[in-house]
Amino acid sequence: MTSKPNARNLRLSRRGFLRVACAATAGPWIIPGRALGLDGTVAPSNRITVGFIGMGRMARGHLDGYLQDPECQVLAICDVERNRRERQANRVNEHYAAHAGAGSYTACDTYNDFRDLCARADIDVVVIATPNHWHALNAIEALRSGKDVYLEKPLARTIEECEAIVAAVRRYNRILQVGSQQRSDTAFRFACELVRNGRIGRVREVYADIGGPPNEDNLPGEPCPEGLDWDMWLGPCPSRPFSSTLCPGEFVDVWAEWRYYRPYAGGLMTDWGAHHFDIAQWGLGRDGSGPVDIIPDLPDTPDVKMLTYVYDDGTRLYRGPGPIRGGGVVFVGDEGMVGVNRGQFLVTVPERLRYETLGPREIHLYESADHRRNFLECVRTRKQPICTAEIGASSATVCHIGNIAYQLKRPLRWDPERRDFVNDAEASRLRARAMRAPWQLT
Amino acid sequence: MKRKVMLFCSLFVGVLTAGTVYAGIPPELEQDFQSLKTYTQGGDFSACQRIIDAVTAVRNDPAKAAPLAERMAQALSETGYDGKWFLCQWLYVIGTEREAAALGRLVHDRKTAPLGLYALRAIPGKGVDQELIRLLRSTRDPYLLCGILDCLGKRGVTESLGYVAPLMRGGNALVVRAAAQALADMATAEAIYALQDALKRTRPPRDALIADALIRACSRCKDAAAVEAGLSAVEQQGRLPQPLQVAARSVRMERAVPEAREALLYAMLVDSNPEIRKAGMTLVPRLEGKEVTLAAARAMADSSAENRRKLLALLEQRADEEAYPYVYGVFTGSADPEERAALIRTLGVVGDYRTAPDFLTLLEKTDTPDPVKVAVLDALRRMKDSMLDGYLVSRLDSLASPARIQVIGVLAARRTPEAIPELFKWAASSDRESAAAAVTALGELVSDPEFPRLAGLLEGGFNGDADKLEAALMSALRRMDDMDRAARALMNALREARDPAYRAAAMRALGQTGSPVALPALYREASRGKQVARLAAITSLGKWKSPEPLEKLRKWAVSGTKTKNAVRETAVGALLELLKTGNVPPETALSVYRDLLKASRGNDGMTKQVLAGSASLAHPAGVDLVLPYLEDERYAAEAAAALGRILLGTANLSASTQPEICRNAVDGDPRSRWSTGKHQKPGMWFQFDFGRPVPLSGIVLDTSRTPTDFPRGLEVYVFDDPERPGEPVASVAESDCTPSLTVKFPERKGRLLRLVLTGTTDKPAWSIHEVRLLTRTVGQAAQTAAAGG
Repeated sequence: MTSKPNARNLRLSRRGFLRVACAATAGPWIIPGRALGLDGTVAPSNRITVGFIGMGRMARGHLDGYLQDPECQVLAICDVERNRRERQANRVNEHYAAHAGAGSYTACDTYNDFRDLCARADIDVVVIATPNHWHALNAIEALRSGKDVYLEKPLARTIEECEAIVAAVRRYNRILQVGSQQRSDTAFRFACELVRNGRIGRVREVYADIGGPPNEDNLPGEPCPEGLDWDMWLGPCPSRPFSSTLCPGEFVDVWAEWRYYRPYAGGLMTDWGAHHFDIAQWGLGRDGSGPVDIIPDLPDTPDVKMLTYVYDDGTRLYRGPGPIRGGGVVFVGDEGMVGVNRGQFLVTVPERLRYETLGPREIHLYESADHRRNFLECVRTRKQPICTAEIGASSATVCHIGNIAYQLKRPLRWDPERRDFVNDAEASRLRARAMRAPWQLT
Repeated sequence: MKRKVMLFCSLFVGVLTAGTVYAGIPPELEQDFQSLKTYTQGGDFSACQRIIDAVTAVRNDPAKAAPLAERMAQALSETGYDGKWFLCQWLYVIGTEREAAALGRLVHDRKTAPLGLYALRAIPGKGVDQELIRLLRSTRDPYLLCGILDCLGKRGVTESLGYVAPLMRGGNALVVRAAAQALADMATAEAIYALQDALKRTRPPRDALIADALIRACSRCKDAAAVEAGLSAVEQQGRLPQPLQVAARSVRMERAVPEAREALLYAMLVDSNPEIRKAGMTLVPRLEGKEVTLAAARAMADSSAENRRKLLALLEQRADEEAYPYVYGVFTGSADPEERAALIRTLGVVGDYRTAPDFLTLLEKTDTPDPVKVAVLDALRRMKDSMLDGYLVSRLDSLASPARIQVIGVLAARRTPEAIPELFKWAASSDRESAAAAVTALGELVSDPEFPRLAGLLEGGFNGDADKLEAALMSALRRMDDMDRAARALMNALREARDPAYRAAAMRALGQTGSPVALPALYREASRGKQVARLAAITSLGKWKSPEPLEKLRKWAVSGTKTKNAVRETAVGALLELLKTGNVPPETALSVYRDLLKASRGNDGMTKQVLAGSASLAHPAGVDLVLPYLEDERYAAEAAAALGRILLGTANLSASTQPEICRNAVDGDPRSRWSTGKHQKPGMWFQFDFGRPVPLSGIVLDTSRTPTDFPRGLEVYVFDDPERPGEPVASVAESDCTPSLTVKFPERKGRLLRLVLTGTTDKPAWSIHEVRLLTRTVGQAAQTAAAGG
C-alpha cells in the first residue's frame, strides 16, 4: 500500500542540498504591487512574504488571518495532498484577485515538498502547521534557509527534537514563535500576573485540565487516495499503510487524529498540554525549566488520582480538573485561587482579584493581544516573540516527561537544568526517536 | 505451486517453533509470540498488548527482562513487517546490547532498516556502537548509510570518526550530508578538524552542506581553539549562502567571551550588510550580559534613524539600565517627534526619576506634539524607580491644571499609596477638573482603611459630579475586603448627605457592598427617599444576591395605586431581576409571578415585562401561568418565548448516549454541551419529555462552538405515547445541516419531542451546546423573540 520511500527521497534530497546554495543566489521573486493589481496601504516591497507548510484545519485558520493582513502576502503553499494545496492556493489567488479588482491572480505557488518552498529566497516567513512528527524537520529546514518561523504547538514530538529546534533558532539566529496562543489571551496573562505577584500567596497546586497519553498505532491500512504523497506524509516515521484516521481527506472537517498515536505525536498530553501546562509554567515562572518529579496515575496506584508533577519548591502540578468546573488552568495558593480558561476568569478567590491592577514595580508579563500580530511585529523589529522556542521546548518537555512516565508506568525524576532524567538510563532513552533515513535531525 | 510450497514451509517452521520452550517466557506469553507471527496493522492487538504489559512488568528487573528481550529479538526473524515494527518499538524500551546483532540484521534491508535503527538508536552500550560501526563498514547502499551515520552521530560514537570522515569525499550528496551531520552531532575537536579539512576540499555548492555541519559542530563543541578554527574556515569560504554566513557570525558571537562580545556585536549592528545587521538585532534580546546592552546602545547612538528606531525597541525589551546614558544622550539632542517618542518610551524602561523634570516640562509645554505627550505619560506609568512617586506627588501643586490632571492619572496607574493624602486635598479643591481626576485616582488607590474618608466625600466635600464620585466608590468597593465596614462608612456619610444625586450614588454603592448591614438603609431610602434616591435604592435591592428584599419589592410592585408609577415600574424591574439572580425558591417565584401578572392587568408594557421575566421560572406550573397569554395576540410573542425556556428548564431529558450530560444542552451556557461521545450513527436520539402536551413549532440547535459536531441528517418527532413516535414532523437532509440549525414545522401539540439522526456519516460526534424551542408561530416578531429564548 505504501509507495517506495527511498527512490523518491533520494531524488528529492539530492536536489535538496542544491537548494541551499541556490537560495543564496536566487534573485528576489517579489512581483511589483502594480503588476499584481494590489492596492494595499503597505508597499509590496515592505510586505512580509509568507509560505505555508501543511494546510490542514489549523493552517486554514491561520491562512484566513494572513490573507486579511495587509502587511503580508502569501506566496506559496505546501502540502502533501494535492487537492488540498491546490484548493487553498486557489483561495489565496481568488482573495488577492478580489482585493485587487482584477480578474485573476495566480501568484501563489504550490509545493509537495517543503524543501522546495524553503529554498525560495523571496519568502520571509514560514507558517508550519504539519503533524507533530514533521515539526522539527520542517522548522529546522526553514530556519536554515533564513526564514522566520511560526510553528504550531507542541514544539516537537520528542525532547531531543525540541532541543534541536532551540539550537537551530540560535544557530541560524531567527525568530520563532510557537503557536501556544493562550499566551496572547489577556485573561491567561493577567491570571499568571496575579499568581506571579503573590496575590494568591504561595502557590501550592496547579490543575491543568487536559487529556491523556497517546495510543499505540494499530490502525488498519486502507487504499491510499490519489493525489496524496503518503510516503512524504510519513516522513521520518517508519512505513505503514495509509490510514484515513491519520490523514483525513480535504473535505472531512475534523481534527486529524494523528495526534492520538505515539509514532506521530504525544496524544492529548502534548496536544492540550502545550496550552494548559504552558500556562501553568508561565504562572509559576518556570519557563525554560520544569518539574523535578513525575508521578503517573495508574490503575495500581489508587492513591495517585492524577498525573502529578512536583517542582523543586514542592509546588504540585496536576493533570486533571481543578476544584471548579470549566476546565482550563486553576492555580491554588495559600491565600486564594485563580481559575482561568480561554477569554475568561472561571474563579478568583478573593473575588476582587480580577479587578486589581498592577503597579509598575510588580511583575508585568510579556503583553501580546494577538499571537500572529506579535510574531509579525517581532519579524519586523527582531524582538523576541511571546512564545519562543525555549519556552515552547520547556512546556512541551513537561508533556513529554509525563508521557514517558505513563509509558514506563512508574514515577520518574527529572533534572530540568540538564534536561534529562536523573540516573535513569531506561527513561533517558525515550528522550529521542530515530528518524527514517534519509531524514535526519540536524 | 509456489504458494503451496511457501505455505508448507511456513507450517513446517510453525510446527517446529511451536514446540520450542524459551527459558523465562511463560507459555501463555509464548502463545502471544506465536500470534505475533501473523500480526498485521489493524488486526487483533491483544497479543501485542500482552507483550507490552509483560515488557512493562519486567522492565525494572534485568534478570526477568533479559529473556523477554531475547525472545523479542528472536521473534524479529519470525514476523512480518508489522510485527517487526511492533517489536522494535518495545525493544526501544527494553532492548540491550545482546539484541544488537538481531536488530542489526534488519538494517541490511531498506524497508526494515528504519525499524532496526529505531531500537538501536536508543539502546545504550558499546556493543551497539560496535554493531553500528560494523554495519557502516559493510554497507554501500547510500540510503542505509544515511540511517547508520545518523545513528552513530546521535549516539556520539567518536570511535567511528575514522570511518565517517572519508565518506564526505564520496559522490553521493546524501551520504556526504549525513556524514557531515554525524560529525556535527559528535562535536569534538577532531570532528571539527575533519569537517574543516573536508570543507577545504569541497567545491560549491556541496561545500554548503559541509559548512552547515561545521557551524553546527562549532555551536556545540567545548574546545575553543577548534571552534575558532572551524568558524574561521567557514568565514573564509566566501561564496556560501547568506543564511550560513549569518549563522557563522551568530555562533561566533554566542561563543565569544564576554570581553569580546561588545565589539563583535557592535560590528554586526553597524555592518553595511542588512542581513548581518538583522542578525545582530536578533541577538540583542536573546543574549544576556551588560556588554550586549552597551553594544546595542552604542550602535543605536551611531545608527541611522531607521536602525535607531529598531534598536530602541530592542533596548526597551531588554530593559537594562546600562543603556540609560546613551538613550538619554540621544534624547536631549533629538528633534524628530516620532524618534523622541520612541526614546521617551525606552527611557521609561531604562531610566529613573532623574528624567522626570524633562518629562514634566514636555507635558506642560503647549506645543509638545501629542505622540510625545502620550509617550511621556506611558514612560511615567512604567518607570520602576520608587523615587519617582515622591517626586510626582511633590510637583502636583506647581503644575498647571492640564499637566496636573495627567500626573494624577499617572499616580493612580502607578498605584502610589503615598499620593492618597495629597489626592484627598485635591478632591476637595475648587478646581473641578483636578478634583474629578483626584477622586477617580482615589477610587483606584484607597483600601479598607481609607474608604470611610472617600465615602465621606458624599457629605459635600467634593465639588464635582456625583457620577465621578460614584464611579470611584464602585471601583474602590471591588477591592474591599470588609464590606460590612464599607457599608457602615457609606451609611455614616448618608447622615449628612443632602444632595439627592449623591444619595442615589450612595444607594448604588450600598447595593454593591451586598452587606446585610446595608439593607435597613436601602429599605428606608426606598420607602421615604427623594425620587431619584428611592429608585436607586429599589434597583440596588433588585440586584441583591439573596431573597431577603423579595417581600418589600413585592409590596412596592403590586401595591396598586398607592405607589407612584415610576416607583412601581422600577420595583417590578427590580423584582424580576431578583427572581432571576437572587436564589429565590421556585414555589415562591411562581407565586410572585402570579401576583405580578394579576397586578399588571391593563398595563400591556408591564405584562410583557413580567412574561419575559417568567422565562427564568424553573417550575412546571409555569406552563399553566404562561399558556393563557399565548392566546392573546398582544402578549403571544413574549409568552411563546417564555414558554420555550420554561419547558426546557423543566423537561425530563434523555438520549441514546451519555444521558447524564443532557442538561448541558439546556443550561443556558453555550460553553457546555451534550454530546454522543461517539461517531454519529443513524438512530442516535435526544428526547424532551414535557410531562404534558404543549404546543411546539420548531427547534434551534446550536453547535457553533464545536462546528464539526452538527447532526448529519435529522428527523424531528412530536408525540404523546412514548411507545409510538409516529411519523416525523420534520426532516432535514444531511446536505442541509449546519452548525446552527433551525427546524420549523407546523404547530403541533405533543408531550414528547425527539430528535433522531438519519445521516450515514461515520464521524464526528453529534453535540448540542444549546437548544431553543419554538412554541407558537406568532408572526415575525414572535419568531425572533422565541429564537432568542
